[in-house]
Amino acid sequence: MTGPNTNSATRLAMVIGCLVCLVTIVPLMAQAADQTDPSGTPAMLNPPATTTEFVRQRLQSLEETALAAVKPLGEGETKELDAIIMHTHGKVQWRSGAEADWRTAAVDDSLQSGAMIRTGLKSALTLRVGLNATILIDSNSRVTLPNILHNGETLETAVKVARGQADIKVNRVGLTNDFSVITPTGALAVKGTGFGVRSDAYGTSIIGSRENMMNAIEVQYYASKLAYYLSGGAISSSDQQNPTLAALIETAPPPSTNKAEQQDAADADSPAGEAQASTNPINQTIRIDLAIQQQEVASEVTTYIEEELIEDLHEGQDLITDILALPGFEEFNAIPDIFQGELAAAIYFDLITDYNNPDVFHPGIGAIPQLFQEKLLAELDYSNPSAVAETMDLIVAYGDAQGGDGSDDMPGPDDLRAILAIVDNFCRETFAGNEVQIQICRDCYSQAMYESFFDSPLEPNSYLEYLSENMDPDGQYQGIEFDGNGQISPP
Amino acid sequence: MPSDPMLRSMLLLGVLAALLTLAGCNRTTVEQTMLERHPSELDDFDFWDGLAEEPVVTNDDAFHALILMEDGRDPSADFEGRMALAREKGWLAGTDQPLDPNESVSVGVLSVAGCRILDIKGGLTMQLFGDSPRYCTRELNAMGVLPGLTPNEALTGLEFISFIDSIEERDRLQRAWKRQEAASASTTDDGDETQ
Repeated sequence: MTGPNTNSATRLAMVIGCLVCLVTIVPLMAQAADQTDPSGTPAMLNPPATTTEFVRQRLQSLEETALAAVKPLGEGETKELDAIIMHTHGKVQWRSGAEADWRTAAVDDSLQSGAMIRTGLKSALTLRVGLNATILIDSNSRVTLPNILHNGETLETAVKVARGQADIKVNRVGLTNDFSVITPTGALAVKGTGFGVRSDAYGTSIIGSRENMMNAIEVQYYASKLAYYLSGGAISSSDQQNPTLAALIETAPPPSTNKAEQQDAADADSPAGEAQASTNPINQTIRIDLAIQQQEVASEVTTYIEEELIEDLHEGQDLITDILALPGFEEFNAIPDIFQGELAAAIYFDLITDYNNPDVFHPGIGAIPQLFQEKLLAELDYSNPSAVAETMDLIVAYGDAQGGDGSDDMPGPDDLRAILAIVDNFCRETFAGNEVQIQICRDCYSQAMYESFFDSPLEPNSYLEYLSENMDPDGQYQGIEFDGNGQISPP
Repeated sequence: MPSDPMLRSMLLLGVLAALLTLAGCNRTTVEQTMLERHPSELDDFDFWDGLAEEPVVTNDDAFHALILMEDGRDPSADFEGRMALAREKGWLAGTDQPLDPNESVSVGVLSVAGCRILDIKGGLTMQLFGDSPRYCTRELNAMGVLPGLTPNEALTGLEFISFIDSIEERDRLQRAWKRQEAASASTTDDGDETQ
């Protein structure tokens, strides 16, 4: 009787052992397969995160900044706020006042109190209004923003919907909300967090708001701004100043995040946290608790329409398949294709610092790794010279394998991609799970390359030209010439 | 001469009734349509803003607006061109022609256009006899696109714009439903294949 039991135990142990082996080995094999393709070219370690995922993490990291930006003003102190256009679709126009000329609406346009907006058929506009609201104006609507004011501890906002439909989402940000919607048949005081209002020939009606769609538009908008919209010591991938960004940061903090919502919940229990309308006569005509009503009408309609529009919004912005298009590598992506091979070679030669190497005409000084380390320390408080050195060794090994040691093959864009894949792998392994830090890491490398090789955009410095001469055994390689206007001439 | 007061009263009432009937059969006409004031083949804000102020919407303006909604632009040079386009799209089914461009558009005419734009099949009568102002109005009433209106009524500018908005929203909703149905169908197919 013991024999069969022993056999069963042995078989069970073997099965468990095999399973353990599989569980351990398969991921390692997969990882190895990810890192190099059959030709030995480095590949991206993991599929890059979606823009949406990156923004989600970025917004979380901006929680404290968002809350800190919304501070009460002193008693009697007032401040005019702006509305920023986040998304337009179709034919949309706005003007600063009744006497001003109409102009076509564009993303980042900044609207002040008194601005008037009109949308055409099959058109829509999304605005971030003041510090705490997002408004989606539907097609064939006429909307005015009579008042966007930060008054002491109160955010006073009025939106006039003369005709059409507007969906409104109001975040609680720790200040008192005095948010009113004026229609031809009355004024509504907003007490809840979101609703839609339609004004037409049959009067004013309250409908469910397309909150998910507004969230999606916010995410899309902030994703497009993240290269600039970094705070708390984070870096920008571009020195370019976006004038509307200043207004954006001034007036529109990121959408509410978990911490903000927690604070909202606490505020909601106190009278100060509820919508206040007593100070504003327009609110005294009709007062409806929109938070209660918003669930009632057209929930099916809004759900289906939301799904359709959100799909449209996200179309084409999911997985990034080209490593050059990854957030943080914009500096490389901006380099013309024809020059990318030369840049890849220069990155390689910068790492060949051995003056006794007979294959290298002009040895490098290791400028990029040094700057890369400095930037990682400054921006991410990361210091591990040996890990950076190992990454650079991988680049050298790749360059050697591709003919850096004397082969006649000219490098091309794929070589630059391979080098960036090595850097990307380093960033992903070092800052695993934190898309924000991964992007900043890539950005550090981009900046290190840029500062090492360029005086200004498309203006290579003498060091890059010096390294490029290694591409010709005689040291006579002239490299690609830039005329200073973004035009290049092949060698 | 009828001398009986009773007979005279009846005659008077008859004349009054005839006058009221004749007057009631005539639709309102306007001297100048919005389109004559704001001629444009494109989606023109001034046209819509002006239309919203109009006490009554004319045939010419209504068909221009419907074509804008359906096609994005109205290439017709005149009312005849718009009629030809409307006829081609089947919007004039069951409507006595010709229509006067300056005459108020009837809810019935708009309903047929709405049924065609939204591809409404309707009930048994509509499926047997085709679109008609009477039954299309009923269908749109039931769907909430034309709340409580009858086929012979005229619309103010604001009511007409509400009608256009409702058609547009319903169209979006129907397209979303179709997408959802297609998505669930493909999910079901995938599930079947997996099994």
